[in-house]
Amino acid sequence: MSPTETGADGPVLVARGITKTFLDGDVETRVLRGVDLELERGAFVALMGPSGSGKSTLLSILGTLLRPTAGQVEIDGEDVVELAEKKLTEFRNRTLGFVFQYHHLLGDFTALENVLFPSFARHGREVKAARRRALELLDRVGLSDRAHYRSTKLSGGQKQRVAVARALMNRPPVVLADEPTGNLDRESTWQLVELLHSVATDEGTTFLISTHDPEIAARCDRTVHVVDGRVAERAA
Amino acid sequence: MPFELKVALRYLASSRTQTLLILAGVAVGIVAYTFMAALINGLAVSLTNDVIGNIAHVNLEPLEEEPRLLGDADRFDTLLAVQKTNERRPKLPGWRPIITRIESMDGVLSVAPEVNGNGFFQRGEKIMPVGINGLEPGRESAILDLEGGLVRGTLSLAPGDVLIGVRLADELGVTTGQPLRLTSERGRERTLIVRGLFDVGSASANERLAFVELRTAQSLLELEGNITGIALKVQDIYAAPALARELAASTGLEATDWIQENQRLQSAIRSQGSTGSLIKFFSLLTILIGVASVLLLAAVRRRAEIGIMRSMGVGRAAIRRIFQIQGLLIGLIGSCLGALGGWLFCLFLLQITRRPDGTTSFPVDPALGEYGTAIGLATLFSVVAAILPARAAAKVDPVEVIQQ
Repeated sequence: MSPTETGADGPVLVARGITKTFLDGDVETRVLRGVDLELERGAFVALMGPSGSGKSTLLSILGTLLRPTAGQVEIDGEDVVELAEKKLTEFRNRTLGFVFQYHHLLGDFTALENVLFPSFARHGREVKAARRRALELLDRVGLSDRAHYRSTKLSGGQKQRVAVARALMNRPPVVLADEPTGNLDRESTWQLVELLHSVATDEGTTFLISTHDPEIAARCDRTVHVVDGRVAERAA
Repeated sequence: MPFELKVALRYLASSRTQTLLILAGVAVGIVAYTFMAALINGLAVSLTNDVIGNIAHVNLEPLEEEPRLLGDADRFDTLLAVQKTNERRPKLPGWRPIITRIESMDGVLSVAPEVNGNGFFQRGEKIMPVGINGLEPGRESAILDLEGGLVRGTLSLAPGDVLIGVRLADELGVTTGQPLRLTSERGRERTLIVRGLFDVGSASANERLAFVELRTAQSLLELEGNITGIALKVQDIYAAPALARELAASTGLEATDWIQENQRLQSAIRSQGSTGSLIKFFSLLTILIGVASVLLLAAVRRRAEIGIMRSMGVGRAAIRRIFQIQGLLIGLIGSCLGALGGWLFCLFLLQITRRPDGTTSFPVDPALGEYGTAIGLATLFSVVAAILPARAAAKVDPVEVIQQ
């Protein structure tokens, strides 16, 4: 059983000595140079840093989409670096949610189906309880009346809220958001940030939000800075 | 509904024009396949029926006698040659019990004793060579459909009656009720009355065959009480070789089946079949290439969505299944439509080539379109065609897609 299921305390995500080097022919580029990071359960954390500092690479590694060159990542009590591909896919579905800068909704599906997708992937089909959960989430993000709209028919802000609901579908303990407000206007940005914050508070979900916006960082519990592939932390 | 099926259906439905085009492509390929099958198979059946419709499927004849050696053969070290004996004609006495036994066998349609020989008709100065054939009353149409081919007169032959073909009657200038003088190869002569004229659809048969009552034939050919062979027809013509072997073993007679007698026909049918198979294979290959290219394009176009699915925990195997299900659906639906189209096309061709008498000048047989095989193979080829796009889709790197 995972710590979430047992209700254990302690950090939900622990990264130790993460390095990542990309090879392009003979050219070696070190993007991360020994990142250490811990995230507590229910924490609402901003990840800041200039472009090219390695934020997205770090998020991809923490999101198990990319393997580090060296280092250790433990999420929800599981060491994920050595997990085999199939196990990692199942783990990602169960433990992690993603919100991207561009919503990346599936255009041929309705808002409800998009939210249900992580559940489809988990169960192989639609299950009733998941449908109830998806409708609740859409209600929570204020889109219950748009549940059966094709995702292409929604506005930018609405699409991003559907993406948030989708990220929360399988009740993951950790949600990673890569500049989730990057394409939104000010009003939609704040609606989304407040939404994420309330979920973190109510469901105990840990959020790590990559952003360039100091105001969003100010709304977070703490801010992690990535500079030249290393982490420099500062309390909010 | 499994989510892979749901996604596959949604993808096919959303790319409507592309889906309709590839379905049409598969359907056209299967129309070509089924039409070719119906044509080649129809042609084979038509040719076979034309050839075997009026011949025996199995012939039983007495074994030819070995030449008798004169003196003590053991005294000779080397036998230089064996010459065929012409001392006695092969005959088949005691034939009636054999016919009775063959008649009771499963799958035998008809049996008739044969008394065959040669002779010539003479009328005035005109002399026409003929094959003399004895017919046992009640078995007139056992092998050759004389009843169906009778154009004038009657089939009931009494001793002294003869049935001749329309061409022979025309050559000799006779019609029913008129006498004809027949001289057999044994030199025996008899004046016969023409009781009927037939047209069995074969010029040589219509010109060269004469049918007389069995005993008249035996008398003309000096075969009193004997016959020259037994002819039979069977339900399943392709079972004839096995039956021939069985009869040869059980009767001690020489049994020849229609396939042995018509090797060139079999060879021609096989050649046609090979050509047809090649064309059918290319139809399937076209389907394979079409489905593969459409799904490959879809895999490229859906890269971003595939990447997102992967990030949500959809495994590579599930991504592969989504594309293979699309291949399966395209193959199955397209080939079913194609099979229906092929069947309708064959019916249409039959309709427009139908002659006033109901026969057709086009030997296509809609019932022999191999529709099940076509659907099965097209579906299989489509699933195989989806393997490459499915692999390409499953290889999509979510990080690369998301960062784009």
